[in-house]
Amino acid sequence: MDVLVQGALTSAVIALVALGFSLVYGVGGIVNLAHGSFFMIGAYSAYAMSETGAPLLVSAVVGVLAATLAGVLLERLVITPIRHQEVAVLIATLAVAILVQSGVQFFYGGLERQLPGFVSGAVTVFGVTLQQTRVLAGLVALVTIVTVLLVLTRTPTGRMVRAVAQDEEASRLIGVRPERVTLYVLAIGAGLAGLAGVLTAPYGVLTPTMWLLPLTQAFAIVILGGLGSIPGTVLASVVVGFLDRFVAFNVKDGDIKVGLVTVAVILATLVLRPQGFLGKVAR
Amino acid sequence: MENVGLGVVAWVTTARGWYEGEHMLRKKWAVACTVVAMSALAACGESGGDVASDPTTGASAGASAAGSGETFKIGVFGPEQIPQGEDVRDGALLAAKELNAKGEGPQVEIVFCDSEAKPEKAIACITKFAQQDKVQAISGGFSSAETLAILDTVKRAKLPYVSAGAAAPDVVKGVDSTGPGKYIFRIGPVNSLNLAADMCLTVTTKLTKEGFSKFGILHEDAAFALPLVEFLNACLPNPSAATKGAIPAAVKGVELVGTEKHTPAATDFSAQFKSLKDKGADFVIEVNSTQVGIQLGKQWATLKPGFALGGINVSGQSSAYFDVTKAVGELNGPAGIVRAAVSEKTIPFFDAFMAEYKRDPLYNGAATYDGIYALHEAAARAGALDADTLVTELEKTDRVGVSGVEKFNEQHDVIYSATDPKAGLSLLYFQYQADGSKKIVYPESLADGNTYQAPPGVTLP
Amino acid sequence: MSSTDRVLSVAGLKVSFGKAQVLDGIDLHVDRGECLAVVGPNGAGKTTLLRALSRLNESTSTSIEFDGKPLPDSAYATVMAGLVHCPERRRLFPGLTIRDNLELGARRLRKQPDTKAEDLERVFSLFPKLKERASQSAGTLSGGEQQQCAIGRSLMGRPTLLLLDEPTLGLSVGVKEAIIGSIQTIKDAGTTMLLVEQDVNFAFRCADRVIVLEHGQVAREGPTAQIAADPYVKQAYLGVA
Ligand SMILES: Nc1ncnc2c1ncn2[C@@H]1O[C@H](COP(=O)(O)OP(=O)(O)O)[C@@H](O)[C@H]1O
Ligand SMILES: [Mg+2]
Repeated sequence: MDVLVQGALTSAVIALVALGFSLVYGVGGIVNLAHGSFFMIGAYSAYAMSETGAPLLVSAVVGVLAATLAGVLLERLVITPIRHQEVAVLIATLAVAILVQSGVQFFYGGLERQLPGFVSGAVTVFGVTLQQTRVLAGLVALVTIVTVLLVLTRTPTGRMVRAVAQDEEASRLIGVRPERVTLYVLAIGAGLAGLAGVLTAPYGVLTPTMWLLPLTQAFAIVILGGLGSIPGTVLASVVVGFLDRFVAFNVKDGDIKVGLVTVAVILATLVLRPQGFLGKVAR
Repeated sequence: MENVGLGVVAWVTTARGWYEGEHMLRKKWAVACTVVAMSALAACGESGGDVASDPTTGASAGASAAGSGETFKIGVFGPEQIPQGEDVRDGALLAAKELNAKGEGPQVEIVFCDSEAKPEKAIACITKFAQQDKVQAISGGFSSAETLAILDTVKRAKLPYVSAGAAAPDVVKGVDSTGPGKYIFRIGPVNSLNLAADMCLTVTTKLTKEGFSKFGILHEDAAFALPLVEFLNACLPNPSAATKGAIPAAVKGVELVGTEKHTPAATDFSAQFKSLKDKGADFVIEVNSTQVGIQLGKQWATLKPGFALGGINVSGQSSAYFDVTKAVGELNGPAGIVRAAVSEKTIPFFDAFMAEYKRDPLYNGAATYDGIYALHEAAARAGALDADTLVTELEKTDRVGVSGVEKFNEQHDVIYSATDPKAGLSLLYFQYQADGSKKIVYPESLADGNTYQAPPGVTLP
Repeated sequence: MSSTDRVLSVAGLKVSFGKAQVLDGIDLHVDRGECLAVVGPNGAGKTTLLRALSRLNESTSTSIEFDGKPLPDSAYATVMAGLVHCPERRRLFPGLTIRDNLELGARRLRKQPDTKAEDLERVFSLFPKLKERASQSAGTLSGGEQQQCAIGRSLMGRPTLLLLDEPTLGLSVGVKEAIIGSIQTIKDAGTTMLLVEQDVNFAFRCADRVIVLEHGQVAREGPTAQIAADPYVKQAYLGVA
C-alpha cells in the first residue's frame, strides 16, 4: 500500500518534468539538457520571492513564470542558432545547465535552502500516513498532467503540436511554423518543470545541483517510454515512480540504490528495446 | 550515481547523432561546442573561487592596539558557505574582539581563509597562512576531510594548530609532545569514538530507564557516520565488552532491531521510517551532520511514525531548525552546546554571539572561540609567540571554556569525561520543547531539573 | 490571356545541392483553371521543383509571380498566400485521425470565415471511404486511402494553386484509376493544378499542357496533344517505336 500510494504521488511529479522534456524532443528534435535547470529555476525563484515576504502563492506563480521565461530565452538565444545540429544542442544545453548551476552557487552559495509549504501536517490516505505537502504536490501534478494531455489530444492547438511532432515538414505544408510551436512547447515544458520545482521544494531542499536528478529521471523516462512518445512518457513515469518507491521500501538500503536502479533500467532498455515501450524504430 | 546515468545517456545519444550522417558538419560543431562547454566548466570552477571573495579583508579583526608588543596573528579557516563554516569564522572574530577590548596579553589579529569545504583549498589556506600572512598559530577547520588533509602541511610549517571542528579520531593520530605532530591540538569536538561511547552509554543507561527497549539506527551514508554506526552496532547489544569495560558489566545491552541509511541529499525518509517501525523500534537513533537533518526532523515531526527520535543531528543545533521542523520531543545529543549553565562562560558566550550575529552558535563556533582563547592564554602565560613555546604552554592548558573544562591528554586531544565535569568535557543531550526551546535532559547534573518527555505520538510503558 | 488569369509564372528557377545543379533555369507558367503536368524520368528534379515553389528548398530565380504578386520567401507565407503542396509519399500525420488530418488542412484559412464543415462534406463526398473511417488514425489506412486523405487535406485549404506530387505512386491499377478520376473531378470543379506524374499516360489524361523535365531543364513544353504526338516523347515515354 505504501508503495502504491507513494508511487502514484512520485510518478505524477516525475511525469511533470518528463513530459516537457519529451514534448520538446518530439516536437523540435531537441535533447535539452538544461531541462532540469528549469526545475531548479522554478524552485529558487519561488524561494527568492518568498524571502522578500511575498505570499506563497505569488511566489509559486513567480517561480513558474521565471522557469517559463528561462525556457523562452534558452530557445531564442541558445537553441535557435544551432537547432539542426543535434550534438551542438546537446553540448550547448549542458553548458547552460552548468552555467545556471554556477549562477545559483554565486548568488546563494552551496547552502541548502528551504521553501515553506502551502500546507503542513500529515494526512492518512488508504492507511498510509503522508506529509500534506507531498500529497498536494502529487495532486497538483496529476491535475496538471491530465490537463496537458487533454489539451494535446482534444484541442486544435494540441492537434497542431502533435502534427509537428509526427511530421515537421508536412506540418509546414499546412501553414504551421514548427519553430514557433517548438518555442511554445519549450516554454510550456519549462513552466511545467518549474512547477514541479515549486511543488517539491517544500519537502526537498534547494541546492545548486538539484537540476541533475530530475534531468536524469526525465532522460530515463523518455528513453524507457520511447523518444518523443507522449503516452510512452506517461507510462514510463509511472514505471519509474513505482520502481523508485518499490526499491526504497523493499530493498535493503533501497533509498541509496534507487539511482543505480534507474541507470540499470536505462541501460537494459537501450540494449533490449532501443526504441522504448512505445517508440518507433527511427522515422 | 546520477552523473554516471547522465554520462551514459549523453554518450549514447551523441553516438547516435554521429552515426547518422553529415559526419563532417557534426564533427566541426562538436569540436566547437566541446570547447565552449569546457570553457563554461572552467568558468564554473572559477566562479566557485569568486564566492570566496577576498579571504583576508572580509574578516580581520581590529589589530595592534597600543602597548603590549607584538600582535598575535592567528590564521582561521573553514567553509564560509555553510553555517558550520560561518561559525568557525565568527567564533574566532568574537574571541579576538573580546580579547582586544580587554587589552591583556598580546593583541589578536584573525586572518580568515575560506576552505570552501574542499581539502585542496584548505591546504592552500595553510600554505598562505605560513608563507604570506606569516601567522603564529592556526585554528578552525570544519569537516574531518579538510582537517585531515591539512595536517602534513601544518607539521611542515611548524605552526601550532588548534583544531575545532573535526571529530575524526585520526586528527590526533600519532601526536605526542616531541614528535613532528606536536603542533597539533584538538579543543573540540570530542573524539568521535568518545561520542559513540557516550551515545552507547546514554542509550543503555538513560533511555532504557525512560522505557525504551527496541532501538533502530537511521544514519547518513557519510564517512564520519560509518565507524560510529559500526561501533553502536557492537556496543548497544554488549556495552561493556565493546568498550573494554569502560561501561560497567552491570549495564545490560539493548535490542537493536534494524539499521537504515539515507543519502546526504535524501528528501524522503518514509521507506526507512516504515521499515524501522515495522521492525518494532520505539526509539530511532539518528546520525547525520549535514542539512539533511532538517528534512529528517521535519518528516518525523509531521508523519509521527510512532517512535521517538534522537541522536547526532548537527543541523538540529541551529537556531532556525525548530521553526522549519517543529520537531517537538526530538532528542539531540551528544550535542555540541546549548545555552545553559554548562560552565560559567556558556550563557555569556551565547548572549554575546547572539548580540553580534543574531543567531545561535553551533558546536564549532564555540570550539573555535575557545581555541582562540586557549591560544591567547598560552601566549600570555609564555610571554612569547614562537611555536615551540606556544606548544609547551598549550599542553598545560586547564581552563574553563564555553563547553566545560578543557584539558589536553598526551595526544593533545581534549579530555572527555562522561561522569566528572571537572575532569574534562562532558557531553550534552537536549530535547526540543513545545515552545521551541532546547532543554538539557542529560547529564542530570546539567539538566536543571528538566527530564526527558515522550514526544507527541509516542507512548511509553 | 490577361495576366490576372496567370496564377503562377516562373522564370530562371535554379536549385543546387552542393555542387549538384538539380534545376538549371526553369521557366514555366500556370493559368487559372488549368492543369499543367510535369513529367520526366526519376531524378529529373520534379519533386525539387515543387519543393522550391513551396519554399521547402532553397532556390534562386529571376522572378516568381504567384497570383499577381511576388511569391513569398517562407513556406508559411506561401501556404497562407494559397499555394498548397500535396507532397510526395502523402506525408499524413499517422497518429492523428483522418478527421484531424483533414481539419488541419484548413489551418491556413483560420483567419477567414469558417468553411471547415462545408469543405469537409465536399471532401467526404469525393472520397466516401474517408467519411467511414473518419475517426480512425491515418496510419491504419491503405495506400490509396492515404492518398485520398492527403489530397483531401490539401483541398481543405481551398488552394489557389494545388501542387500534386506523384499521387499514384505505388498504387495498384484499380486504385490508380479511382485517384485519376477524383483528380479530374477536382480539376473540373475549377482547381488550378500543377501535377507531377511519372505515369505519362495518366498525366496526359488530366493535363491541359505538359512540360517534360530532363536533367533539371525543360526538354519539351506544349499543349497535351502536341506533346503526346512528339516523336521523341513517344519513343522515350510512351514506349512507342
Ligand atoms: N536534399 C537533397 N540533397 C541532395 N540531393 C538531392 C536532394 N533532394 C534531391 N536531390 C537530388 O536531386 C535530384 C532530383 O531529385 P527529385 O527532385 O526528387 O527527382 P524526381 O522527383 O524528378 O524523381 C536527384 O538526383 C536527387 O538525388
Ligand atoms: Mg519525385
